Amino acid sequence: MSEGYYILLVKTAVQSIFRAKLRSFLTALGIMIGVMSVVLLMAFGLGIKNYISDQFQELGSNILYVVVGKIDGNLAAGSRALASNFRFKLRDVASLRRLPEAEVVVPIYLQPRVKIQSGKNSFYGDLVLSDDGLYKAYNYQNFVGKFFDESDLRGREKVAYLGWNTAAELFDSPAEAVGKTVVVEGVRLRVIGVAKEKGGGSASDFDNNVVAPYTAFPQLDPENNFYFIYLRAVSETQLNSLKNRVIAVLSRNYDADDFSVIEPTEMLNAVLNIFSFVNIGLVGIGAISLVVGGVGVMNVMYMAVTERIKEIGIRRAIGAKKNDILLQFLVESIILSLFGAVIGLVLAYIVVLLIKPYFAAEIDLTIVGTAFGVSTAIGIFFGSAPARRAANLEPVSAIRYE
Amino acid sequence: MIKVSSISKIYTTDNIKFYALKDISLTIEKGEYVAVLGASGSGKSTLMHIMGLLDKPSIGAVYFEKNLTTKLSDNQLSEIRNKKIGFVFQQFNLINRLTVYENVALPYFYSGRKDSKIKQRILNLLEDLQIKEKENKYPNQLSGGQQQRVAIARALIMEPDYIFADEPTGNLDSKTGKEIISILESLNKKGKTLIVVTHDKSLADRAKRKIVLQDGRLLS
Repeated sequence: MSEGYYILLVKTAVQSIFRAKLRSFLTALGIMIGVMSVVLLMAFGLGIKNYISDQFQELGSNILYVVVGKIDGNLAAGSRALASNFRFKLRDVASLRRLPEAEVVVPIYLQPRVKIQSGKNSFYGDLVLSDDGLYKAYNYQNFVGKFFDESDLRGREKVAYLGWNTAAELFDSPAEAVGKTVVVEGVRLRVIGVAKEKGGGSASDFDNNVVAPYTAFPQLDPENNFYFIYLRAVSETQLNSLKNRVIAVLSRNYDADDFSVIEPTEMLNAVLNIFSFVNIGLVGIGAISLVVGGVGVMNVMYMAVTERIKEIGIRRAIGAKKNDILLQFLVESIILSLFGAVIGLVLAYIVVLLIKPYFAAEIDLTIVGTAFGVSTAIGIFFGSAPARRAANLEPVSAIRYE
Repeated sequence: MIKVSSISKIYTTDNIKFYALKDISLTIEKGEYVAVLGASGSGKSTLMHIMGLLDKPSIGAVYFEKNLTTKLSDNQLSEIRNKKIGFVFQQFNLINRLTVYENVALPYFYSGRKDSKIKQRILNLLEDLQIKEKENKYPNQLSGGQQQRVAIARALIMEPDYIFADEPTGNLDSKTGKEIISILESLNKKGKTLIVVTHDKSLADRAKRKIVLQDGRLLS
């Protein structure tokens, strides 16, 4: 077929749509609403998925967490695990540090919701006791000052490194915190640094932490009471081997139910799988409105065929084949659907722009492509029956139609 | 050559049969100028539709250039209508949503051919019919005579061998009607087979041969 054939096909279809503007708009409205709701649901899904992935990315790859209690893939069991009496000891940390696959081993003592006081100001945050390896393990970045180092640990220095929110709540501004004193669990600590704002976390909310060397709190006996041990493998390929070795080492002294070794990526995948399942369900519900829109398209196309019976007869008389008539009406149906899809996409994009500062939502090319693909499929599916009716009209009956 | 052999067209309503055509046999040779004459309801349009491969007889055979048309597929029939036959109708039957140019070009688009000179051919045809300046107008912007000229141009664009004209002057004033008939007859002089269906005896008398129908039967 010549190029002019296809140009005329599309031109005729567009003309038909704009000849009956109100009818076309009302028909496309169903597709519009359907596309907008599906795109928004997918955008929220993508935004949340990316947000969750980014949070886990912050932790880095090649990571393992050794935690107290048995998690067994049930994330809700994490809180029950914390209630367990079992704790790790410094000698466990030393044993794990001897593993060749382990690049970093950091013990973590956690006491949630402790009162942190400075003068008349107080704030409830999490007390984290660890060694100098925690700075890299948690990907801290200094806003002001510095993290404590090995000499602070060995010297049992009473120093503190504050999370952003902690510093902001206790002082006029986080920048003024360095050199000041905070009191935690009866221990006076000199602030030596404040972290840049992070947002979210795994073991605790980083921004609400006060971090100190575990040697600064002998009365809490952290060396026998670590909740977590953070490990980083030398490389991603050695992660699995490290996991097996960690289990083997700890199993020498403890029961299998006393501890769990978790890869954050496993946690991430489990979370994302659950989330994807829910998101697909919601998108499916949103797609029902697309089906309703498609029925509207089919109805209008049947009307269009009836209105143009004589025209179909004329076209057949001058040599149009059945497939030419079929194609003409299918193209019109597709363009009508795409018309609704474009407006639905634009509306969804505007909504995402407006809410993005407050809620994770993103529209990427896959979502745009899906919207166009689904709308085209709707146009083809719901337009095919009216198109076939048009194509199967007898030329002589059609041409005589008044 | 178009040949119909013992064709009948029967319509059945409530078990009652109505014969639009009854046992018609005739042959039209290439290059002939034939008028099919009859009163309203005599079956002349039905005969034209069958000879022009728009319709099929209920009984009998139709041969188009020695091919038995009942053995041809729908696509083959469409192709013959596209390339071998041109139709001119009483009500012009132009497509109002297309321009004059697009109406004339439509058979070419359906032909599947690629002709780099098609645009010039269309414009030459419009010029020959004295409507070139109306190229970008729509049918509802033209007079009846102009619309019929566009219909003739559309019928000629594929250079068919057969022109079927069904009451071509029925919706025109006498002066314009004479112009149109003159154009059609000039095509016959150039070798095209012209079949004019009419109830107008004076128009039928202009043809070299008359086929007279009455109540679906061939009188002469």
